[in-house]
Amino acid sequence: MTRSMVITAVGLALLCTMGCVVPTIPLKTGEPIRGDRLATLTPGTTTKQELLEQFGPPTAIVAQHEIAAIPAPLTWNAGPPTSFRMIARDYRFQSDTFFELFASGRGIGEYHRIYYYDYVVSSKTGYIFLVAFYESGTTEMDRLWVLVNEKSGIVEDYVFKKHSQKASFGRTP
Amino acid sequence: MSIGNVKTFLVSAVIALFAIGMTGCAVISGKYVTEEPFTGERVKQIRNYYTTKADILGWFGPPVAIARQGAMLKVPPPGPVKRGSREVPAEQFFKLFAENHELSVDHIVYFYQDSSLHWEEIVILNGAFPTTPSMRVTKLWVLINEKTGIVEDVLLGKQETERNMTGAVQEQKSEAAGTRTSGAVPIRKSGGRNP
Repeated sequence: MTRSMVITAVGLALLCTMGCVVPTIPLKTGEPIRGDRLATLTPGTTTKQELLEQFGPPTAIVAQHEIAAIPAPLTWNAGPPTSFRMIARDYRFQSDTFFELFASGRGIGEYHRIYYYDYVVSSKTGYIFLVAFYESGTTEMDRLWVLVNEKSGIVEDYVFKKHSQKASFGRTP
Repeated sequence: MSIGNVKTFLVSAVIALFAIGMTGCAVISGKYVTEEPFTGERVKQIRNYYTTKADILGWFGPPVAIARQGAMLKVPPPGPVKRGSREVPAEQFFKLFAENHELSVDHIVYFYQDSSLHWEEIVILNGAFPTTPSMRVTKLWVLINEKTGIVEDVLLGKQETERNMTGAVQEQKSEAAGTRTSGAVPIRKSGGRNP
């Protein structure tokens, strides 16, 4: 009888730990910022036209000293698994925060604009067990800022930041 | 009925009740990292009077807002539901450092924030008992001397906001921002406390 009770208890315990992983389709905003395309950017030489051909239209173009609006990326939101919500809004911020990336030792003037690209992947995975369900989500963002002189039509610098990695600068900052 | 049989019956009854109780029982919880421009490990690498502004920009990208003396900032909200922005006087950021530093027009403050959503729901016998979803925000303020390009101080603050089903704030908790100093020996300021 003791043996059968042990077997029953072990069986119940195993039953409780049975489960599965349920990944969801990741939400993607923008186009991947590929390394081979980045390699084509040469500060002082690449033209604005070449930039647009390689990367397409930017997420935003910002000038200095203005309040810029950027569309917020699509991200999974919290909530029960039966009520997914996808949230996208635009948010406003001071454009000077972008120009801060290029401020060192360079004269930024009225003809400078920053072409901003981003690629955002929002994903979540559910872990379902008999007695518990856990869901986790994360948002990863790759961003590219390109400083363009609209008067000359030349790319003067760029900064690329992949999520969780240090930014790489076109010119030494 | 012998004692052995009673014992067996009781154990079986407990197991059966447990099995019935597990029916529909679930702890559902979730965590969503909605934005993560900085991590704790990276922040620990910041050394006052040693780390440069370029280091900060390289590690964390451009700040969410930059405070300059006398300015009014536009700060986008944390979290996934980004709608509009809020106005914050720059003095609110400088106040965090005023006690330990002699601030001048050369000083600026870089502001970063990261956020994650947490929620839980307990389901017992097909009845659901949700807890209020909470947004946990970590804020980072970096005091920089723009003239030297050197980081002089760093503050981390945490905030947790619970919202009800309509999205309205139910409770807000903040941990007081604490000054963190590390690394190189700081420059002693005359008349001021050594940070």
